[in-house]
Amino acid sequence: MTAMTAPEPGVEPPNVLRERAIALLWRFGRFVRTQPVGALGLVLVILILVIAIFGEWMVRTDPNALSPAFQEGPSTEHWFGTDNNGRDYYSRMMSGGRPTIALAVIGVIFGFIGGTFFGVVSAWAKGWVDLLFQRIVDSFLALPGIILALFLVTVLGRDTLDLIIVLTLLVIPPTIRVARSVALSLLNEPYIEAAYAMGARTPRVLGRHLLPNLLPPVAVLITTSIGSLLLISAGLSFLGLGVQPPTPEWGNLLNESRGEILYAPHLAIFPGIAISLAVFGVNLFGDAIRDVWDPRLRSL
Amino acid sequence: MTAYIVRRLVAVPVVLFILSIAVFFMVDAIPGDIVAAKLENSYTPARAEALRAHLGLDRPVIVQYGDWLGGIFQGDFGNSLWNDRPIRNELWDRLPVTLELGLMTLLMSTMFGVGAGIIAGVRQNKIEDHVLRFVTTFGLAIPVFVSATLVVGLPPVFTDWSIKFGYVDFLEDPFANLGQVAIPAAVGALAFSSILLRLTRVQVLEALRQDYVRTARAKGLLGFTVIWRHVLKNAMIPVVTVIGLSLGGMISGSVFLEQIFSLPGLGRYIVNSVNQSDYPAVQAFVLLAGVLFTLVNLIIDLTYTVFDPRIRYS
Repeated sequence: MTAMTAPEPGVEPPNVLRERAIALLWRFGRFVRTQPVGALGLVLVILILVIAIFGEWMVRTDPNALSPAFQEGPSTEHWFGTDNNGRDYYSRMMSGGRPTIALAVIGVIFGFIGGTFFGVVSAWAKGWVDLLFQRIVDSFLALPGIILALFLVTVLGRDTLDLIIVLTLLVIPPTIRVARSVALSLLNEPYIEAAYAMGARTPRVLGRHLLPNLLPPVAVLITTSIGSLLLISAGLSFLGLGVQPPTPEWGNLLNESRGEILYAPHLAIFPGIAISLAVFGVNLFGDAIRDVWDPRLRSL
Repeated sequence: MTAYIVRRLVAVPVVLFILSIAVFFMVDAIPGDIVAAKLENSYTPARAEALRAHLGLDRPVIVQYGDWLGGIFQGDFGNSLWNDRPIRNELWDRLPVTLELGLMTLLMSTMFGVGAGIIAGVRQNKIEDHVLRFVTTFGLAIPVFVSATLVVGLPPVFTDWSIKFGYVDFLEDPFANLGQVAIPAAVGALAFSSILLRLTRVQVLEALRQDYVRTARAKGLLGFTVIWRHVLKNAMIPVVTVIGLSLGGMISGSVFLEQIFSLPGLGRYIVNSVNQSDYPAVQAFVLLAGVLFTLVNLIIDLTYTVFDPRIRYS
């Protein structure tokens, strides 16, 4: 029994914390100054996330509650008007963001984890395993995103869990490719050899030495794919193959509005703006992050 | 470079083979009995057995796969589960519509995207540049299914004009047909031309900075000649590639555009097939899309070496 003299975790001298906070603020300020468009994207992303997380409680009535006020335009009582069943459109819009955004975010997270794992394994295994992996990835990438999504929906179904798997499977192949190429170059670094020389086993080398250096560049590149994932999840619902009515979701709200648009154009305009702003904001923010991380990747 | 070409040529059949396996066996693994679903209320074991034999489902899976793949090489994609028509005919009937829409989208976006991109590049930071780049922001921000919905829906609200639905065949009335396809094509082109405009602009700016442009100007060549002969020839290489790569975007766009504008093309067919769980039709479409996309990518990669001899592959 030896007495531990190390300071308790989490307790740091306050001045260090303060310095860190200031450093963080300074970096944030520089981001806003150097990437004003990206900062606009960040504002939109925060707005969209607030709607996704708190939208359920920002409603004014039950989004599925019927009323005799059919297809009314925006008013003080119904901020975004009402739909063809007299449901309050503001409430439907507020609760309609979560499904799309949650699907895209969950898909990106699972896809990121799975893709990184298989990418690292593929790069580490080398030889025919790597070759076979890459050809499988190629065959997935041989299809445009929405076509692959349509195929997977046919095979898997349209429940929430199915859609999560569909979106995850869309993210995994490009992530494998990125993670593999980064891992291939990192595996040649001297610190990997040093770790092996010190007697570390493969899982430890990959987990403790390779992964911390691999994750940031892969994460940055994957951030840029959230926009297209949002598009696919809203697009599937728009085609009637994603989130099913009466559950409100921006894509299916837009689809349902098509029959009523002549009498109630606001039913199409609000979800249209919401989807556009969400995709736009995520893309702006993703591009800015990528530029800050590695200006060489800037393409357009 | 020969090694690179050989490697690419070998990889293509392997990739397509894996894709065919995935497409066939993933559908095969779908739970539920197609035969039972098709017979519904008239289900009897004897009938089920007969239908199973008719559809070839009583044989081992591997034999079914071989038959399916062999049939595809002969242009036989099997019959639709929905109406029992040969899928080849279903696809063939709808191909011209999608092709027309895709080509028109490509033509419009290339004309606008590349043309305006050159203007924006040559007139960098002038009013034309700012206006054009502002327009592309919308083109990039608004998803095609949103803009298409609004283009179809909003004009009748504010004007007497509205889009005429009901597809007119080209042979019946060419002008009506072209006019009908032009609107969805323009909507699709809005998005794609924005990408092309930005890329062209950057490439033109890059080329304008090169020494050979200064040399050409110093020789006393006309501004137009410099742009045409020296700037554009070099700026267009990546643009041509992106135009080639746009095929995937055209297929994705047709899915939404044909749905919204009620055009009887392949994009609408695939969505209907997914909705009706018409598995053979989905399989055929997905495999064909994969083949097309892979071959186009291959051709682009290989012609790249012709367009730009500076590029060397190790």
